[in-house]
Amino acid sequence: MALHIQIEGLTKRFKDVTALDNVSLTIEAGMFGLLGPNGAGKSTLMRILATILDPTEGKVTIGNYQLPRDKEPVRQMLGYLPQEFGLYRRMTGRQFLEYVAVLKGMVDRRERLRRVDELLELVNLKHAAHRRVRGYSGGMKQRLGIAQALLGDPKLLIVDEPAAGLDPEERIRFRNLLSDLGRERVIILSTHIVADISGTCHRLAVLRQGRIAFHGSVHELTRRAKGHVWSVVVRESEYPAFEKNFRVVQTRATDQGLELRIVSPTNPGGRGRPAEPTLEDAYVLLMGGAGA
Amino acid sequence: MAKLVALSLFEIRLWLRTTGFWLTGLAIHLYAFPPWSFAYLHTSHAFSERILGQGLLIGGLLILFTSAAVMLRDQSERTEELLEAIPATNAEIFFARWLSGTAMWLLIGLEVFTLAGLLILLQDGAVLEVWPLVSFYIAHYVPAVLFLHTLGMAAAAWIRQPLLLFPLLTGIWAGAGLGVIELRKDFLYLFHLTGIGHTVLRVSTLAGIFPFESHLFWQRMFFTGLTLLLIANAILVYRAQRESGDARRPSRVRRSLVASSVAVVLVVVSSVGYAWYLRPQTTTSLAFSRTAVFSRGPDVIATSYDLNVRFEDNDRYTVHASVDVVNALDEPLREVALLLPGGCWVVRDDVHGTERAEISAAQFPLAVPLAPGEQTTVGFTYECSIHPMPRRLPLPSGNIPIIDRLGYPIPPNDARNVRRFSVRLDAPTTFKLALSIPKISVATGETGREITHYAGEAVWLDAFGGPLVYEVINGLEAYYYPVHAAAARNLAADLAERIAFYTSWLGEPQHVPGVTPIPAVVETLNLSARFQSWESDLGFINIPEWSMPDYYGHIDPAHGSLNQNALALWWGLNQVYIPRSTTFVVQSRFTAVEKAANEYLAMLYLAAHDEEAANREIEQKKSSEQANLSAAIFLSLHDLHQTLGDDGLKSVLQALQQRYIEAVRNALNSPAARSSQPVSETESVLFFLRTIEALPGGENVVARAFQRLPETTVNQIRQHWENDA
Repeated sequence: MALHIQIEGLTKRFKDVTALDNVSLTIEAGMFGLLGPNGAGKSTLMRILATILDPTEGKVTIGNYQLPRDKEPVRQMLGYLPQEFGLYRRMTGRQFLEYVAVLKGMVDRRERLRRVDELLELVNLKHAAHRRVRGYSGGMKQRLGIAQALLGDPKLLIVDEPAAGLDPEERIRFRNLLSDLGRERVIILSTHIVADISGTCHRLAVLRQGRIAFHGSVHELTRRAKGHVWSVVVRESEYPAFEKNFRVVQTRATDQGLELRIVSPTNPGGRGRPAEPTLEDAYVLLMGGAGA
Repeated sequence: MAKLVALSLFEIRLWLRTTGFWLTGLAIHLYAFPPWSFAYLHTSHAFSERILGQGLLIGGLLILFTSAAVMLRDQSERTEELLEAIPATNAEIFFARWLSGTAMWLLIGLEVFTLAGLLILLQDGAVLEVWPLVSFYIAHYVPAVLFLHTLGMAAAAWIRQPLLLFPLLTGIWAGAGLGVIELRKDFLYLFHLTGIGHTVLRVSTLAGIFPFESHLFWQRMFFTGLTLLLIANAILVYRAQRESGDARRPSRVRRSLVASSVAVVLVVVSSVGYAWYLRPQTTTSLAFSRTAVFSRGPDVIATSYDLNVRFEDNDRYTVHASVDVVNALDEPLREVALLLPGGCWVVRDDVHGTERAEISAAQFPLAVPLAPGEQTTVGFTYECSIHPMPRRLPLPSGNIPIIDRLGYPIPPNDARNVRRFSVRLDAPTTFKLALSIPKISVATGETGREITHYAGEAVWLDAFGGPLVYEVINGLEAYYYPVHAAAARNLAADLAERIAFYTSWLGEPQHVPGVTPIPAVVETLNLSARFQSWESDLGFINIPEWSMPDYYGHIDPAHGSLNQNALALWWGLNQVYIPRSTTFVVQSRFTAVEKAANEYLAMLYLAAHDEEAANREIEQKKSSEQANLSAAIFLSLHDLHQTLGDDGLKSVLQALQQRYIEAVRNALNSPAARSSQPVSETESVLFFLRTIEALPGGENVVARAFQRLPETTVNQIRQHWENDA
């Protein structure tokens, strides 16, 4: 049976700061994106789902288990890649994965080694498996982090800003990897980079100042922007005025001047041509609605 | 369990990659086998002591640090968040780290002790005994290191701020080791149980344990309980928020509570048990108060002792004592009071006994009043405990009783007079007792026992007994611990040679009870708190066990302590003031002249082996003669020797020694002389110069001596000298 996550009225306060405020979400199998600017509460929500933080109020149900009561069984089906993490620098990549595998209960050595090799292959680290972690680049460490999260074939994979530090090629490879994995499990991908979600997730939630600003499908959010995205060609001298009065999401130089992509409820200056909205346009529109 | 084992194996890999682990290993090796004194370690005992005492001196602190750092590893490596979501319990993580650390520390110990054995084998004349190495490792190293390792890990589980944790650990280490923390006397047993306040930094004492040492059994139990308590507590405290979920909380808490309860029971039971073990020995009725006994002057003077001593078992010995006492009062005496040292108590029903603090007192009613100056004999039986006092026993050497005194009664405010002792000891043949009176005979006793008779005069009866070997080496009686046989024989032969050499200059030694030792050399084991320095007693030549490793090979002819011990047969041990009247008498009559005579004799012995070294010593004296009276006398003796030859020097040295001994004897036999002022330097120098002047050709030596002496001394003696002339 596919895993189902139900979050109801989730609130998390740190002394006087409310990081999450009455958040309710439903997450089904597949890739789920969690989008929002820095400080929106994404990592707090991820850490609660990863059993690291306890909520102040509210209810989290993961499958048949509830948090924070059932941390241990939830951890049994969890793979987690935090936003910021370290690795045992004196171990080799393979040793580190083996260590985590043992922590996750993979005591059969042969099976453990087989799985570790598979994952090293999967994250393209086989060639560096015997090198000490302290010699790894940022991207290699990130991939090793992903590999450790995948140990134990978790039903729920939580990845917090996973593409940070990856070069474009690795980023694409990683997105594809997540897409493949998402066919068999719940993957919650938290990011502030819209492109990471647009290419991989079907459903998403947008967090803004600890509250849910949107919860639904990518298509639905994108559709909301229909009629609010314009393409305008302006002279260079006009650009400052447009930038001041409208939300310019893209600028491109053409022979006729500058072609601007603008998110606006009205036709900017009456000169705009309606354009097909993207998720990024929709996100900007959503966040701009709050005066962003 | 399979997961724990697999995890522990991985943790071992991490330990192997920890700088602290290797540093600790290095420190233990460097201090256990210091290159600067490696050649002196010849026995398993010596090596074991070095490993435990020195090896863990810095190593112990580093164990604390490293174990704590391992617990903080996730913090320093920033892996905390990553690992927190992993399905491993805190108990699994803690135990894996604890087990792997335990394995690694014990492995280092095993390697160090094995290396010690190999190094012993490589040395000529060294004695390899496997059992001491094994037992020191199991009974000392393992518990001490386990405790430190657990303490370090538990401390890091509680305090996760390195800036607070590491200074705190250092403080605990210094506090426990350097005696910074002092406990009230009421809690003395806790002091001995825990090692807190111990003045010598010796980690082994933290868990000093030997299976057959009954009181140390309590220590072992105490530290086992404490270790268990630390583990249980650390598991509960370590990243507690990580397991704040309550799905398995009841079972987890229950397990920790059970472990904690067991630990608390162990700690409490061992503390109480240890306090019980050290309970005061009770005696019969309370007949008189200690205050009354001590408020009186000396009622009687003890003139003779006849002690029949029987060692009953490893815990106590019985003494049938007959004491001749003389009424020292101006009025008839109706009862005689005698005091026994702590740990001894009267056992006869017709004698009223009591115990106050560490002194047992007995009161003997007399049927007929004793007239002033009259003598009577008091006879009674008492028992003494082998372990009368709670003592720290840093390195137990065996399960055979060791005593550093023989309990016998003395009158209150004892006159400290010379008296006759006759001691018959009935003890197992494995137990040898050295006394500060000569051994007269040895006879076979019951099965496995022998009866040894000692008799002679002494002021105090000094004793040391234990599992020693008795042997006469080159005419010198020697008592030594079997593992040190090679060293002891070498030492005794060396001492005998020194004594023979000094006899050739001073004549046969004249034993003065209470002043000079008898010619017997005794290795006093580490167990004894009394005999840990060279000059700590008067009755025999005392060689502390810790110094034995010095005597395996060539012994330096200039060895100061050995010279002093050998010369003590003529001059007594006089370098340290001990609050005994006899010592004071000896010391107050030992002036710069006697000191210079001793130094010159020691230089002559050196010259017989190494003339160049002796010449260097003479040159050194020359550089300080004007400011130093004894250096001037030393050089005058040298001048005398050069001018008048061996015979001239001998006659002067013997005259000086004779005068000194007579002065001491007079002082001992005369209460007035005892309390008199010390002999002045001036008188001694005058005697010295006049003795030389009386010799044919001595005038020139005296004339040159006047030039050597410091100006102040010359001014002081010139008037006397001219008046006499």
